[in-house]
Amino acid sequence: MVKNLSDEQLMINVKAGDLDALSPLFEKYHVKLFNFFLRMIRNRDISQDLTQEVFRRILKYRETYDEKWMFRSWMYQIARNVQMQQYSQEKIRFSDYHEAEEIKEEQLSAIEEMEQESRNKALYEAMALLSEEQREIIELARFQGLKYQEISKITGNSVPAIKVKVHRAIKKLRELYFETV
Amino acid sequence: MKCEEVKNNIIDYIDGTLPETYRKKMAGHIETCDSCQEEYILSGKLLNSLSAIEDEQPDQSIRSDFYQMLETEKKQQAHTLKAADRNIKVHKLSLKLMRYAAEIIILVGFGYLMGNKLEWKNNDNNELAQLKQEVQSMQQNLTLASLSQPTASQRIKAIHTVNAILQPDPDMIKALLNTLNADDNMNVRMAAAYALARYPGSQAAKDALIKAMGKQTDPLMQITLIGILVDLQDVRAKESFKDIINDQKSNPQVKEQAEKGMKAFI
Repeated sequence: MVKNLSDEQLMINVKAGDLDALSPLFEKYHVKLFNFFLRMIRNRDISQDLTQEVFRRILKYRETYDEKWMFRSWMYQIARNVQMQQYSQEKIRFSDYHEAEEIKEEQLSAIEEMEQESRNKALYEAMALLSEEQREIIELARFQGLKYQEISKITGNSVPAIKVKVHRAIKKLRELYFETV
Repeated sequence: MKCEEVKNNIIDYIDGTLPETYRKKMAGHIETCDSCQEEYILSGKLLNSLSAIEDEQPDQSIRSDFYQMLETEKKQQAHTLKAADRNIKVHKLSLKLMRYAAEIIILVGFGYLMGNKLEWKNNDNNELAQLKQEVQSMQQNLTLASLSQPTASQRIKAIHTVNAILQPDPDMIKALLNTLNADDNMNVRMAAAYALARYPGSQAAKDALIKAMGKQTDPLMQITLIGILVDLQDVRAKESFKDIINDQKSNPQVKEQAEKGMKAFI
């Protein structure tokens, strides 16, 4: 019975006080969210924590859920905020001139960790060279499979602007990727 | 169709999300333009590689952490609902009493005007006395409602307003007794005991204190009650005092106080 409900109906139920309705949403999305964070920050432990944080916020702010929004868009908007907050905290932790080096080293070791199958290595390396914004747009448009309309809702950019951004990010990635293979 | 337009739409073309007529136009262009063809092939390859990347699995702990968090939130929710329910009940009662108060004020005003205008001097005193009584009973009702407030300080405050009422009715005594016996907070129980002690003329208040003496188990409460009953000089308290003195489990200080109390009865 529960399986027939849409994401939005489930979230409306959560909002109305039926907290168990969040379980099917967790089961449906937690792996996706985990990978969203993993590809953005490349750290398993932090990605697990951030995934948890997204669901914690969904619970905490359940009453602010607007039924006009697709649940998925709302969830990714929260995920994006969580990630940006984590990013700025991380930045504070590193001192100025060590920052770039340390992050680079961390990225490299994380990449190695992630690509035991080396066929994806070139792709991950190319992605690591993209800007944060480009990585995010590729993440949302390709890996998470969101429509331009949804990304527009999440990021606040217009649909045509999103389309251009996706196009540019893919083009850039393509150049980086085919340079290395 | 220009190359730039084709290149800008190449992703949607590969994804197959473009309208059929537009797609056909693009296909025609790509077939004849080398540069756009290359763009099409490379982009296609890249998007294929991207979609070939499989999601990694998080550790199992992510699931247990989530369900644990959900349980905690559910408990929190149940707790909040209960408190809200209690507040609503008290609020409803207060509203009712406020309306009652408003009616009385109108009545007082009306009565005053009538008295002045029509010079019903004979009835004046009677009416005023009656109104005074009504106001007092209203005040009592308000206090009764406040005794079920959620925080201890609010309840103590309510008890203190009882002190302003000179002749409490049996309901008020009963409410204070209830508070004395059942309130979770010892400070509130103590305040209730002192409030009852203020009515030495009320047999009901004395009975309530005697009853409480037999029931209270907290040493500090017992000592308070012994003091109050000695002051009231109610000899019926002797029975309870004896029980305390004879009980091996009694707190030594309480025992000492009870022994002193026995001697204080004339």
